Amino acid sequence: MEQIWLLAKITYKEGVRNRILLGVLLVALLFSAFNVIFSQMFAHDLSKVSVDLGLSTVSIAGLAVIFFMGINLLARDFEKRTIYMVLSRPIARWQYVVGKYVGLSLMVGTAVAILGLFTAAGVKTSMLMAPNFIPQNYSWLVFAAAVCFSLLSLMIITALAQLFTCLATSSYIALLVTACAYFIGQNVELVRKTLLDSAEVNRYYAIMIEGITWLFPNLQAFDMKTAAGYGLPMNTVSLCWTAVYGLSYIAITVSLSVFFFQRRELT
Amino acid sequence: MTIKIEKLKKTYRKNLRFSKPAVDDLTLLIESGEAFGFLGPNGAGKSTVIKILLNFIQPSAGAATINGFLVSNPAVRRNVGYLPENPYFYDHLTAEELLTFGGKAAGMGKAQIAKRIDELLERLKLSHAKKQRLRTYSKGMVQRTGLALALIHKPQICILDEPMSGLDPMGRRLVADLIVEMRKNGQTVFFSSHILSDIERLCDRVGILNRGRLLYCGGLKDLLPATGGGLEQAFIGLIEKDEREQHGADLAAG
Repeated sequence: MEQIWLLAKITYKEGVRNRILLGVLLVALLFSAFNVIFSQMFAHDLSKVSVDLGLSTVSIAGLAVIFFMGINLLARDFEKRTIYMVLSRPIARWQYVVGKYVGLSLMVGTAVAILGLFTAAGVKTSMLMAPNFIPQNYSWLVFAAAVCFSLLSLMIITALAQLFTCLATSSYIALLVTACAYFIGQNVELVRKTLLDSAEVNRYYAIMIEGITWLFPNLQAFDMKTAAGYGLPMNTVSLCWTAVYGLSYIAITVSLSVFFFQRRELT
Repeated sequence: MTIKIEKLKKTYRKNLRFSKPAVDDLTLLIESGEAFGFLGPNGAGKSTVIKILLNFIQPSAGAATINGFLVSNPAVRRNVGYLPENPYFYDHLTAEELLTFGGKAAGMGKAQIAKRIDELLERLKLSHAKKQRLRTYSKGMVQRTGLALALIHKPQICILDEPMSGLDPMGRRLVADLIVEMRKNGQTVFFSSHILSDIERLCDRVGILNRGRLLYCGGLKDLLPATGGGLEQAFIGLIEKDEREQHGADLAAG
C-alpha cells in the first residue's frame, strides 16, 4: 500500500506543478465569469442555464486535464523511459498501475474541486443578480452531488486513458482512442434507446448496440445537470447504484490495465 | 549477493517468419563484491541483458537470478541500485523529492533518507541544486542525480548502464571514485561502458559480448597478455575475430 501511495504522490506532484493545469484552470475561471454574464440573458430557467454552463465547464476542463496532462504523464513514462526510475525500485507492476491511477485521479479531483468552487461562485452570483427566477429551496446538495458524479465520470475516462496507454505504442493513439471512448460513452445510451424503441431495427444491429453498451461506459448516467439546475430531489438508491456502476467499471478497467501491463515489454 | 545468468536467450521478431536473437545462450556469474565490466559494440545486447536483470523485459529462454531469487520478484530490487543509460526523470520534481521517493520505496526511514540525501548530493556536487526542479538541470547533473538515486538505499548490487555517458571529466572522476568506494565497501558493481580506459581502471573482471553471444568472460589480466596490448586492442581483436569466423557470410553478403 505504501508503494502505491508513494507513486501516487509523485504523479500528483508532477501533475499539479505543470503549467497546463494552470492554463486549464484560468480558462475555466473565464468561463465562470462568462457564465454570470450569459445566464442573465435567460430570465426563465436562469438557474438551469447557469448550472448547465457551469457543470459543462467542469466536465470539459476536467477532460482537457485528462487529455492534455493525464495521457501525457502516462505516455511519457514509456516514451522518455521515466518508468525505469520507478520499476527499478521494489515496486511491482500492479502497484505501478494502481499508484499511477490514484495519482492521476487525485490530480483530476483537485482540478474538479477548484472548478466546482468557481462554478458554484458563478451560479450563486447569477442567482443573486436575479433572485426572482430561482426555484424555491434550491438544493446546493444536489449541485455538489452533480459535481461528484462529474468527477466519477472523469475518473472512468482516466482509467480508460490508462488502459489505452498501456496498450498503445504512442500517446496520440491513446488520446484518439480515449476521445472515441468518451464520445461513444456520452451517446451510447441515447442510440440504444432510439434504436430499440424503433420497431424496424435489424436484429444483429440491435445485438451489436447492446454489446457496445456493455463494453463502453454509459457516461450519461453520471450527468445530473437537469436535477442540479432545477434543484430536483435526489433518488438516493439510484445514485448509489450509479456510483457502484462507476466504481465497478473503474475497478475492471484498472484490472485490465494491470493484466496488459504485466505482459508489456519495456524496451 | 550474486548475479547468475543461465542460458539466457532473448529474441525479437523481425517479421512473421524470422526472429533475431538479441542475446543468445548467455551464461554469466558475477560474484559478490566484484566490479564487473560489460563490454560490447553497439547493439551487442548489453542493455538487453541489463533490462532482463531489472525485469523490464522477459527472457525468451533461460533464467536470471539475483542472490538466488528470480529477477521477476520485485523484492529482489530492494538490494539493487540501477542507473539507466541517459536517465530521464519527472521534470517538476526536485532532486530531494526524487531521492526521498527512492529511499522510501526501498523502505528507509525519514531521518535516514534526509542524512543520506545530504551525503550523496554533497559527494556528487549537487547540494546547491537540492531544491531545484530537475528540468532546470544540465545533462551531467541529471546523470549524477541518477547515480544518487541508484545509491540512495546503499544497495548491495549496482547495475550501471553507461554511467559515464554525458559527463564532463570532473563528473567522470566523481563517478569513478564512487565505483572504487563501492568496491571497497564490498558492493557488487555491474556496469556497461564504451570507455575502455574506465573499465580497465575500475573492473576486476570483464565480459565481452558480440551479437548477443559472450566471447570472453574473465579477469582483465588473463585477457591482456594473450593479445599483447591494452584493453582496446584486445577488445577490437576479439570482435574482429568473431565477425570473421561467425559472421563471415554476413559480411561477404553485405
